[in-house]
Amino acid sequence: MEKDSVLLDGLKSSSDRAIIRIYDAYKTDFIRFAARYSLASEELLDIYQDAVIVLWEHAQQGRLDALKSSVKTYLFSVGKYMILTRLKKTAKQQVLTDDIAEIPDQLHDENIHEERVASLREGFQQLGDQCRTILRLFYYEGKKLDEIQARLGYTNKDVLKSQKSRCLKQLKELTKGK
Amino acid sequence: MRHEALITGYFEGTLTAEQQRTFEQLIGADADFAREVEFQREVRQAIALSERARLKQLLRNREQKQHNASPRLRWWIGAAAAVLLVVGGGTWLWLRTSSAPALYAEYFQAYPNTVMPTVRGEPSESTVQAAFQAYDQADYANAEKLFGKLYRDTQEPYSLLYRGVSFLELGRFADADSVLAQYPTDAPLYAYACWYRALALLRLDERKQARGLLEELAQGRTTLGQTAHELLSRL
Repeated sequence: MEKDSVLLDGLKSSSDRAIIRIYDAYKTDFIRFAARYSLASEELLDIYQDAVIVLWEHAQQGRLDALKSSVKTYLFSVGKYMILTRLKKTAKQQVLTDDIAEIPDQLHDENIHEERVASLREGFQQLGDQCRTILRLFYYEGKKLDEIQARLGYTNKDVLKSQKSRCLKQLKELTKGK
Repeated sequence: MRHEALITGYFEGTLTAEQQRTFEQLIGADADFAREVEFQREVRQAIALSERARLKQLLRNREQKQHNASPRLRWWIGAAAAVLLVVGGGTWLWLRTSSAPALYAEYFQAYPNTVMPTVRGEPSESTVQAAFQAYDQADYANAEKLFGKLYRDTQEPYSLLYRGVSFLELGRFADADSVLAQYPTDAPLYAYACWYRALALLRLDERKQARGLLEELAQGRTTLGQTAHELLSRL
């Protein structure tokens, strides 16, 4: 499992290199494993990419910290779930999915106003690097303010708090009237 | 901001049972508080969509890079180029001399799904989910129909934008033009509707009209404005 912990540590560092390393490490195996399902190889690659992103998100959010299985098993069960639902949807094949845990999207929320999200997304891209980093760590990677303070080297938590408030305010201004 | 600690705790997942109760009470009783929480939830959603799109692109590029490095693929490219030269020599020359389609090919990139993250596995219960699932899976023929239906049902301007881009992907440029022309000027994402309409017109070789739209866009100080400016200079 040593290799796993190295990969997991890499994933938690949230660098692009780390996600590519995971992507490369299991791609061939995954495609071989998934070849039994009647999907085109481009589609399998597409699904594999999504599965790696889900794995990456879960690692950031600390959800793999207590992982009992290997990273590979986890990744493959996410991928398999995605394949089966895709197959089920296209009605090409009737498959039982009882044995696979649901992977609900925590971030999906029906009540969210879609157009506002679209303009927030544009606004987010216009923010400075520091704001984008703070907001990404807090809202996407689910890091606590203490962890962000340590990672970004803020000596005072209040400074970080007010910086974060300023970033949100700026984002509000950027999307005002949209 | 009032109750900042409560909101932070909510997003960190560190609220105690008592704080959780206070939080829920405030959501019901304090409109400003509820609005602020809603805003930050939207921020979370927006960042997640941006990040997922960025990571997806990163992995796609990785795949592309590996493909390009594979000798088998290089052979295919060579063969395809040879076929193109022999069979489609005329077309190739035409593409080279008439720059509009070439420019179109260079600048066109499908607009990302910024509205609804589709996670494979979620059943598509509504038209909007089905439409974005089709769009994300590059099933543009279906996406076009579903966004058409969505627009008839809801009049949501974004459905026009995504339907237009689907038409572009299908190579139905005149249809793309007429759908995008309906996009309301005061709706968000109007700039993007303009941009894709300009590309449709460019592909139809309606340069004058395309130029008009690009000039309008180039006045804005957004990244899109800069791209429009760049494209204008090459027309």
